[in-house]
Amino acid sequence: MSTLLGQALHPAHLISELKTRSRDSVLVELARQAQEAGVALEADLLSAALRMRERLGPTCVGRGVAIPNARSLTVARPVVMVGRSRRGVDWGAADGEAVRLVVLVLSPATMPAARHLAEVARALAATRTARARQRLLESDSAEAVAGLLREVPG
Amino acid sequence: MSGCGDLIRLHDLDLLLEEASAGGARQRAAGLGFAVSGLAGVERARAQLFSRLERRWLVAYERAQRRYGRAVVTVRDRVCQGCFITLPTSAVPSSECLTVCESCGRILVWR
Repeated sequence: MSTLLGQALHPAHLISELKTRSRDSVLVELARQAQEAGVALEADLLSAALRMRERLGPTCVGRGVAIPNARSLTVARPVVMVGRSRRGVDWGAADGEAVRLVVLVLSPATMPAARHLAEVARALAATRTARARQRLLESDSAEAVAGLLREVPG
Repeated sequence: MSGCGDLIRLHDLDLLLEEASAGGARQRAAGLGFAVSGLAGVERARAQLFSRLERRWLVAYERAQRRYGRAVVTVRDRVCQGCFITLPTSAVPSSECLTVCESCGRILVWR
């Protein structure tokens, strides 16, 4: 089975430096980028779904990483997007660390929950080690980031 | 706020609640390190959203949800993405962008 992380990362799916610094504004920024990239039909509805996911339980996993994710009717196709923040985003992490790496996992509504969570698990695995996180933060192109994500076993 | 947007939000909330409630999916999420601590808050948000919707859409939503699990689907190239029937040319999106599929009864979102 092919995985999202195994696919090429379109340049529009990488935000090298997030403009915003709070969790909710980052979710809006990512949703808008998803709409501009043709992945989401309506940014407002997508950001609402992402905020509701955070309300269910925070998606920051510590060590400066967050994996926001949603299955939504407004998502046209499965996709992974990456956002980075040198200054850090206040995500309310349990370890108190600001989030510097955001891996957004989006699935259309027709995607089964188990498959969506499998993609989230792969995104998490891609950020597991300090070396992997550093490389994801320092890679200078979508192609390089995609190469790092592809290293995760499917 | 449009009925269309609210119905899509309700649909997405139900997908999220399905993930949070289904045993296997919930265990998997917990195994990944995601706590499911805000279930009550999400259920409250759903109830608020539900109370805002027009009764005719609520009835159609609940009926289709019970029958198919997912009550709202998109239309692509005039094809209902729930039952994959080609919609008649007389089926046109309303001002709210919503209609009901005459074949399966799911609520159609025209995009």
